[in-house]
Amino acid sequence: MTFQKYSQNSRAFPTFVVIGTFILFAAFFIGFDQMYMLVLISVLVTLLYGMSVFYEKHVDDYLNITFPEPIIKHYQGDDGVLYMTIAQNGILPLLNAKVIVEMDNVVQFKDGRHIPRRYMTSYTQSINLMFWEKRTIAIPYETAKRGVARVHNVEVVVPNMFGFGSIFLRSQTRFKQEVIVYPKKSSVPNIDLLSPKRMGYHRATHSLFEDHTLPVGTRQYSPGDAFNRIHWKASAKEGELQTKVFEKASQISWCFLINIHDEYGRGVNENMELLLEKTAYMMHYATKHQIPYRFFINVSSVDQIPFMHLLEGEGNSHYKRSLEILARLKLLTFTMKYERLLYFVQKHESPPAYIIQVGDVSASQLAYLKRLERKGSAICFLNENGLSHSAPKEVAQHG
Amino acid sequence: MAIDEQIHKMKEQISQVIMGKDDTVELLMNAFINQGHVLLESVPGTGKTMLAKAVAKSVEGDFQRIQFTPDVLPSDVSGIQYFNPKDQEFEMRVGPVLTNVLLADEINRATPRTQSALLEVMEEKQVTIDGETVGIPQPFIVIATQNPVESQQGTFDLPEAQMDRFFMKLDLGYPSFADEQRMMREHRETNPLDTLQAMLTKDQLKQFQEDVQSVYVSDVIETYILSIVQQTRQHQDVDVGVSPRGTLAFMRAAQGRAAIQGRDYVTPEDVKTMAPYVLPHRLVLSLDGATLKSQDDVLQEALEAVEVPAEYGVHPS
Repeated sequence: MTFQKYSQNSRAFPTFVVIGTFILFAAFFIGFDQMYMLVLISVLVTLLYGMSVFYEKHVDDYLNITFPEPIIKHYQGDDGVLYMTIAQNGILPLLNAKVIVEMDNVVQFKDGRHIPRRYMTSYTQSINLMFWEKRTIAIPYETAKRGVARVHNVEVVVPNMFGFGSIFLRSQTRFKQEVIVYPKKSSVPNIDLLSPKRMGYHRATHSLFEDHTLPVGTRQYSPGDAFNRIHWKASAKEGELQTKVFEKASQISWCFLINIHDEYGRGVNENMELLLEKTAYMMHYATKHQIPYRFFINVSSVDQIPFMHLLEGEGNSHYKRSLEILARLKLLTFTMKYERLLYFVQKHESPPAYIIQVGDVSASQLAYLKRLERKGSAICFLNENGLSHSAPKEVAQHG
Repeated sequence: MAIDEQIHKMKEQISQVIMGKDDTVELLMNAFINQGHVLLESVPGTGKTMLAKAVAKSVEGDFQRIQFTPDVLPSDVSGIQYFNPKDQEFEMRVGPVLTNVLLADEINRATPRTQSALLEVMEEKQVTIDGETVGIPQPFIVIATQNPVESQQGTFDLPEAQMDRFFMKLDLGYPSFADEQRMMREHRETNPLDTLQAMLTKDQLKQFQEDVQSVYVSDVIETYILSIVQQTRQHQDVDVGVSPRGTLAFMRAAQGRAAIQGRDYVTPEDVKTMAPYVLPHRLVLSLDGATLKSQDDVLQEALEAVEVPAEYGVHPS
């Protein structure tokens, strides 16, 4: 482990050394009787100085700091404990040292210091560490808001040997420690607006569509069956032509389109946090009712799809991934014009059963949504009050 | 030959193929002597199939493999009744399950329906085809492999009922630097898999099974096992805890470990060591619980919540 090291030396020690040397020389020239005593003292002082320099140079050689639990997950409002292990694997002890840990202010250290200018929270703990000793420090915190908190700085301040100044050791290791704070779930009272086709999962008894990854068996061939649907292996076993039968699948899915811009397309929607909480609630509902969903957010991403997104899926792991993406969403970041996102969805995505528009929408953006509606998707608008089938009035008037 | 000596020999042989996985081999052998099925889960390329083949080759008996893909049908696993035009009669053709060691490769690539075709044979060691039940020769052990579901498209989670039928779930992980270096050297010119010999005969396996069953489990250990199981059922983040089948598997795994270590009694250490391999895959977490914790985390909490019984003479009472 590497540390950036700098020291703040006390001036007393070098001054003391200079004066001592001067007295030693003076005593030598004036023929002082107790000369051997002075030589002994000067050797002792030189030895102490040497040890002090050695300590400063090598105190961090075998010092190691780790966070045993790399990822901790919470919901907003939960309390937690961050464990940090500090080990001195060498022979130089750390006496009366201080350990300072700084993290993003997504979490707030209890008994810590808030640094609003740097969006950080800081925690200081005094520690004594003898040679070959390892200690684990428990740092309690509470989660303040949605987001991901990383450890940005770990610093150890060690007083120099014999108290002449301090050594500052700033860790240069990039810690992988993360505290992920998921958004709260804020209920959407009229979520039933989306439910009529929901029950029974997307594998439906009656549907025009089939899922070709879900074969259910074979049946006797009947004229008109496509050649590529003949199950040759089964046909050979049965002694007559057999046609593959697939699971019927209805096209039920939700697609969240999240616009983090305000209605003018310049700033950030002031209610975005609440809307994300409602989105999280809807995703929870979808997972519980086995409804597959996907989402797109107009935040830039270096990927084939240039927006922050999650492709269609369902189940616990999909929900977990969704919450993690919502937690990682930063509102003050590089965004994209919402029209580009809508254009992309219209051109490249298969139309979902429901599109849920989250956030503000302008008249021109509404036109894109109308085009998606004409392709067979039902549009719903998620606002602070819940879901509605119609766009906000002022947009509708302009549109 | 005693169990511990035989297992040691097998570990030596298998370590020529899969380096640095002695613990995993020991766990696999534990499952074998308990006639338990094993699920090997790991990222691609870590030697799941290779290990399964090596273990299967080291045990006397028939070996069959099913490569699971989305278009494998349940009848491809269990078998069919087909009409034989020569004899003008229906004939039974049992599928690849009619074997001693069945390798179900990439099991989560098949649909849940096909995966479920293994349910009967895994639990009852028999297969029913069109109303006719056929017994499977003993021993019968399924070694299934799968890639972690989270990172895969086109895969299907195993049904809970099937997960519960797996005696153990093992994660191979990456080899150490030294083991990987040894692997590079060993695999440079030859495939060590070709040189493996069957070392464990059916009779030996049967004898070992009887020996394991006679390993002593004291009342204190029974209570300890049950307390851990109860703890998993009462945990706030768990929807479905460890089943009674899981409890039995847990006890047998601890007995197996004791036998492999050369003891005829189970210690709390055996119980605690086997818990992470036998229990977590049987837990079904709640939706919110699954977003915060893994099954291993929940088990760890359960283990920490239960007091470990002290040895006699040490306990103050």
